[in-house]
Amino acid sequence: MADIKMKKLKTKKYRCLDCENEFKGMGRRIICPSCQSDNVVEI
Amino acid sequence: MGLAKFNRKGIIFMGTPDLEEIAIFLGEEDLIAVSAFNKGPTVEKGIKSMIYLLREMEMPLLVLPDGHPTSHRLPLVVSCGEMVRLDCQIQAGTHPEQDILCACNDLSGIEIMATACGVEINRNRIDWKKEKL
Repeated sequence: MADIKMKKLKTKKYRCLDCENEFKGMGRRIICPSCQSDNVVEI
Repeated sequence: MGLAKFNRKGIIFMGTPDLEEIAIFLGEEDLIAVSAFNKGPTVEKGIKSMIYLLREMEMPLLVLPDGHPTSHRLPLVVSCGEMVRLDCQIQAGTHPEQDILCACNDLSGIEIMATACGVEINRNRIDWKKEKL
């Protein structure tokens, strides 16, 4: 199969300011997957 | 292929071959697209079951490494997000990108965009049916 060359996945890294969890994500409504807080910042 | 709205706010996790976990944050209007490599009643049940697993049970997506020998055994592949582009030139199950989905020749080139009240598709002549899940 002639696999096309793909662009790099558009993810961003975030940190939750409430529980310090760090995670990679993509999408429009970013919340912490651990504590569900929306108090997250891009790092 | 089957298409459904995510219909709520939530997260689907994706495990990638480089041992990363990526959270895909979805809203009510976002899409779950399931592409199948056969057709018929059994496949349609499989598509609906996959949509159920993703939407109701938050089953994670798993991405196979490039060239994985089991890729050709996948009966279904999935994409989640606000836009899906169908392409017949990719290897099934090996691409983490959520805006592109492996499909048959007939559907290749179709682009599906989520809108607030439905979807927009860049092709007029498509046989389709609408069902309640």
